[in-house]
Amino acid sequence: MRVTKPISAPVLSAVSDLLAELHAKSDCENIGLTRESFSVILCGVAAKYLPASATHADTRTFLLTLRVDELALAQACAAGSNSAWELFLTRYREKLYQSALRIAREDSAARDLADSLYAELYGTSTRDGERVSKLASFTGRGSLEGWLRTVLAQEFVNRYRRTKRLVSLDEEGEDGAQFAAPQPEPVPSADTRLESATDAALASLDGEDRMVLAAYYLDGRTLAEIARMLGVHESTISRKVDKLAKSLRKKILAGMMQQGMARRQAEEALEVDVRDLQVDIRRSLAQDSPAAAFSEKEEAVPLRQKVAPRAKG
Amino acid sequence: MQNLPKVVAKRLQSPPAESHPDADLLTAFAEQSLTGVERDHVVEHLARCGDCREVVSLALPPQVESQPLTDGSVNWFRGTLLRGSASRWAAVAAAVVLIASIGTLQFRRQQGRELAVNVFQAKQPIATPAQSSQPSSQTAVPQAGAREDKLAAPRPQTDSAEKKAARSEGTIVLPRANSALAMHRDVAGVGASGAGRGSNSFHGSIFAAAPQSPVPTAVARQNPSAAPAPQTVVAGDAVRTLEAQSQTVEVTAQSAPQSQVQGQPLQNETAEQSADRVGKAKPASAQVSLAMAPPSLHSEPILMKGLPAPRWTISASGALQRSFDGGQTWQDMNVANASTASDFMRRAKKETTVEVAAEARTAVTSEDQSETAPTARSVASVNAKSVKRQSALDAPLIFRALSVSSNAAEVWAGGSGGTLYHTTDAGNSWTRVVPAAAGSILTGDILSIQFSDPRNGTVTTSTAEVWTTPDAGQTWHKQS
Repeated sequence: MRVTKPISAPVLSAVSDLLAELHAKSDCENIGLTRESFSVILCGVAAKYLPASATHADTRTFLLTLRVDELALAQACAAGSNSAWELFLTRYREKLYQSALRIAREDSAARDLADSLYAELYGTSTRDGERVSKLASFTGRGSLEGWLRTVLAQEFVNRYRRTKRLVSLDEEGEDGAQFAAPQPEPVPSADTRLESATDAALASLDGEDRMVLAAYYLDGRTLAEIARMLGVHESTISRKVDKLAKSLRKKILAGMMQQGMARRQAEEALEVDVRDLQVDIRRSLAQDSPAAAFSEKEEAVPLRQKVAPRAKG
Repeated sequence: MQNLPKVVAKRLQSPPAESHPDADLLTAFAEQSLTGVERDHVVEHLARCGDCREVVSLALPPQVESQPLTDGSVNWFRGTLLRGSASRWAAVAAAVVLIASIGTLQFRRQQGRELAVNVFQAKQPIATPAQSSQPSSQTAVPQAGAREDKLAAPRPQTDSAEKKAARSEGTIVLPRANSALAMHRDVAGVGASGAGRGSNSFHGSIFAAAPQSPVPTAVARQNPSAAPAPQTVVAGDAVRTLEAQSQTVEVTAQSAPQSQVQGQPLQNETAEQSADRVGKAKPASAQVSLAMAPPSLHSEPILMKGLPAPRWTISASGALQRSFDGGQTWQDMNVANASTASDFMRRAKKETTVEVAAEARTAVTSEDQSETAPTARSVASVNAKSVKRQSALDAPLIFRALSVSSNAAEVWAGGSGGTLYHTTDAGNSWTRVVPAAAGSILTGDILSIQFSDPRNGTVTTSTAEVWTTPDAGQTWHKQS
């Protein structure tokens, strides 16, 4: 764990308080992680996530929620412990391939995905002659298995985007032909008022509500998928989406009327807008990120630099 | 589902944030272990970033692990119950009978609880005369074991065996008293003053359903000594009458004939109370045999024999689920039903403890009768509190955290509103645990439970409290 932020006194004292307990709990001895290096790792994790104003108690609570055993295993692997790596392979090798298969939905692509992640996990990327493992960036906030799935998914999304860009240049004409017809773009006269009313209505929602709307209407996720993402029941999401769509409508109408539109005019503007919504959902998915998606891991940068020219070529 | 105006979709696509949350945070979010500001940040990002939503969605654990409750239970239902039309109707009939019997049992318990509350309230004015009558009974009838007498003073007329019996009752049976004992003490408090005698057997029948296996065995061991106990008791001391009676009922709970045997010596002892007593003992045993049956419906121990170690999970809806076939089908765990009994037991124990403590206090301050009223009040308030807590239990349970031992038999499950349940027998019976320390109770949503071994555990809540136990949940320490 590379420590980038200075470590505050409360963090240090909380780590030293809990070190013995967490060290014992994480089974560090068997995977060759000394108490000192584990202490440095814990300080690094705490410094990464806790605000500078975090108190001793905050740090304690935080440390106790970490998956220290998996954190220790990942860090020991990154540090090059053979016993840790063997343990990691025993526990996660099969799961990694299964997860890759579920994400890529096709065997060869899954193997490709999992193999490239293996390479990163083992740390083939060398910088200044140093082997850096992607496992070094695991901080134990969630489970190691979940983290591996997330990393696989990030890699998959990165690849998908890359592929999509390459393909879209070749097949632009064809795609364009498919999508060209239902694009009348009516642009109602009260467009600015409609947009500002919509913005105001959306801004009044909290993050989770907007996430649910985006996942349902933009991404086309099922209610069940959204429910699993948020850890709630499907029916809760179903009710929520329905309620949100209705209340948004009302708020937008009210917003437009506040800006001087007559009710009927506002309703018409909204109706025209709704009619061609469904056609465009897939396109709306293109909520693309900048090219360097998921690149905040400095350990992963060299590999990506190596891969990028090949993708272009 | 409602259509959304296109402009909303368009405006939802605000430019994504400059940097994505790292894989650790996204994982923690997907596993529901982020709270507060951190979660808000991630959600805010997810609302704006299609890529990260895609990642979270792709990285969700396999469906089997968090299968919604309906799939598994429906499969199980179809697979096991609905084969053939005859068995279909049999299954429906069985379900109706089951629901009816559980409903009846619940209703009885509810009635018993209400009655207990009434008795507690009634006790306050009555307790004082009962207490004040003790000194006179002590002088008039030497056998009369007043409270002070029972705890400390030797009784001139009882032989050594009786003394031993009395002492063993006082020290062993009393602290382990379950609800039956607690309620009988109260009822007899009323009975001694001449009111409400008839309610004795009624209470016995209801609360005799409560004893768990360790308690009756402890009482059974006391049988030889318990038998002579009524001799010292019957003479007129209110409190001891209660104890003797509650023992009779407990023994009855274990084996009905035994209580009949016990009833015999009682008849020989005192003429005035024996008729009353036999009258009580009989209905008690009859009711007990009825009341003892239903708990087995909850615990289904026979079903469990020979089954492999279960797997545990929490469904997307927050229900606790168990699987015996490696995750093919999932069965919903109804901890709430099981807990009603155990919670009630716990409450009754607490009340008894309070009473015992108060009694000891009375013993120390001996003649200070003014102690009695506060005692009654404190018992009533404890009772009122527990009733309140019981009603809070009726809210739907949403589990969020699970800790399973290596053999999957010992499980801790926690969730909304400080709900914490514990089982040591793979879910056959559940105990609700309410961590409390230094006057505060764990009330926040439980986010994680970690037990490093069967005794040492840590529970983290949404209110950023960390509770630890060094002894499998018997005592708790709060760190915040």
